[in-house]
Amino acid sequence: MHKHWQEEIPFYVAESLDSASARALEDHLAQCKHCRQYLAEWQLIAEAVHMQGSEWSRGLPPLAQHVRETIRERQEDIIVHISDRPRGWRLLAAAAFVVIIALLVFLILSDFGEVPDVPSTEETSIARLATRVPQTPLSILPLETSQGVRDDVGILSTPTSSFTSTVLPTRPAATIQPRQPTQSSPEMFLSPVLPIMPQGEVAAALMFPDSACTAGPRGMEPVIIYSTVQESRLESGILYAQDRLRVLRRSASDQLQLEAPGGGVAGWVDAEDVALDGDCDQVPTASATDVSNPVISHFELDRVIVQPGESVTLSWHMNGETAVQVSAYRYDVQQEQPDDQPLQTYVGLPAIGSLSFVIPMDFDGEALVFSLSFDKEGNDLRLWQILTVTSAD
Amino acid sequence: MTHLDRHAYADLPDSALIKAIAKGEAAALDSFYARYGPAVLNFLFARLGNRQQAEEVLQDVMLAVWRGASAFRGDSRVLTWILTIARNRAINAYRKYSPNVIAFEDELDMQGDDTGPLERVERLNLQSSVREAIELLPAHHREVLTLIFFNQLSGEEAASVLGVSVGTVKSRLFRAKENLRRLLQSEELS
Repeated sequence: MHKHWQEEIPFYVAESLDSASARALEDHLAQCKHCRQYLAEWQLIAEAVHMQGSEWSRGLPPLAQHVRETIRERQEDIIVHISDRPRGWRLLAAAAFVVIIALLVFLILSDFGEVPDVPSTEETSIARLATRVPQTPLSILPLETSQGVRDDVGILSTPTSSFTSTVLPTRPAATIQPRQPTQSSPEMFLSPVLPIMPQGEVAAALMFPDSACTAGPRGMEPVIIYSTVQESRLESGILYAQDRLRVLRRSASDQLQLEAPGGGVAGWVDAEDVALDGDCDQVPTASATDVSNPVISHFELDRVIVQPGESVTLSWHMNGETAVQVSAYRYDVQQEQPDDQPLQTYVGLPAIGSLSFVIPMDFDGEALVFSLSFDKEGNDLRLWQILTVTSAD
Repeated sequence: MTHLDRHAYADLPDSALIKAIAKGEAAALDSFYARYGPAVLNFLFARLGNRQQAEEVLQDVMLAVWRGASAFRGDSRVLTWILTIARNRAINAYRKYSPNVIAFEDELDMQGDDTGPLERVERLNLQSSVREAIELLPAHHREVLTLIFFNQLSGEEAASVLGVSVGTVKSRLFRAKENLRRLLQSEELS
């Protein structure tokens, strides 16, 4: 059929077709006048594109001053250390790896002493976040904790900016509570937001005000929970027939955000796939989200080298996306490769936020790498940050 | 850390150059820029249709390379990787820029399915006409033509950069060609 051959002709012209296909096409061209005509047209176009491209790419400007400055900044503090610890420790430590304490904060963290088992973190990266990402003024909604209302930890919200809806702006406050170790739901492909860490460490999870509305599958068919509202989405879990999860909010595209069992955000389901129970008229509606062109505008560690026992804060800011995913991988400095599987993944994180980690004293890996990613129309925009862990001495 | 002589970077293979950038070697970024800057600039121009904006986004792309070189895992060609970065950066810039280019495609679509081989206009200065017509194409048609013919990406690589299926790449190529045909016909008629 001509269609098959005609689809291959542009690639043949571009010389990107594999040799076997190219030979087969040439055989066909020899006996197909129509396809030869088609070939001639593509050759004409290709030549024009080439000439156009050569013209457009002429006169490459020098690297801009701000790029040069960034290069200088990083050169001052990037040093790759290779641990000289005995390798035997590594397996043991890998098994025992604990990235302790994940604490979701959205602005200034200055004193966390009131919440037990949650370490203090530095405000460096958060302050930088605010200055590096100029946006409309941010307001902080206070958090209610088990120790009372805290005004130094809160939800970022601006009335006008595109990320308003990404951080539950319609909710007056969320509660942050220490969680005791529990078995996470086996049905979650990825951990819910801020899950319990291995080794029984206490983590913190976002808890939301009670919602009187719950959702479950309409029939016996399980319903997939997605991490974002996008069309091409990462699956973050499954809602089975017997499951009922609380509904946090409704998107403009009629999807429902569900709370994870035990706190945090499970993800989104299509409203038409689920049956609702309870008082669902009060479910807040997310304002029209500007999710067409997600961009990571900030993703940074507040330091690039730590010693075990020290803390590090990872902060990020993504425009145009409702949720992001952060993963921590063990990083092999010599091979310059992260492991294939992450040590820990957090899904359903808000578009602006930070996580603080304390590197366990018994961690003897050489480095960790953190990734920030999301999924939109098949694009897995992903940035990485490497954290080198040096020996304490 | 051993730093190479500035000129030595120019001879490094892509993978070694990326590793040097990941280690914070500024001269490696200069070589990378010289090697890939023109291709990225051309792609951004095709995507954005504006030289100044393309140059601005190009700087963002180089910053992203500098910051994210350690993320390159070698499971794609460097060219594909950097063009993917470029496209992601361009999308945001493009959104702020003229929407007229998209509207133009709708206009074209309303013109019906007139067909006629390109040879009908071969009497004209074909090359020049085609180039002018390319500039009038919608951004997503210009960019797919650029990726395939200028950057010589395979269908799979172009699909990866654009975040679409290979089938979509093929159909965009077909549509781009049809649009060019119509543009050339309308030029001939006028």
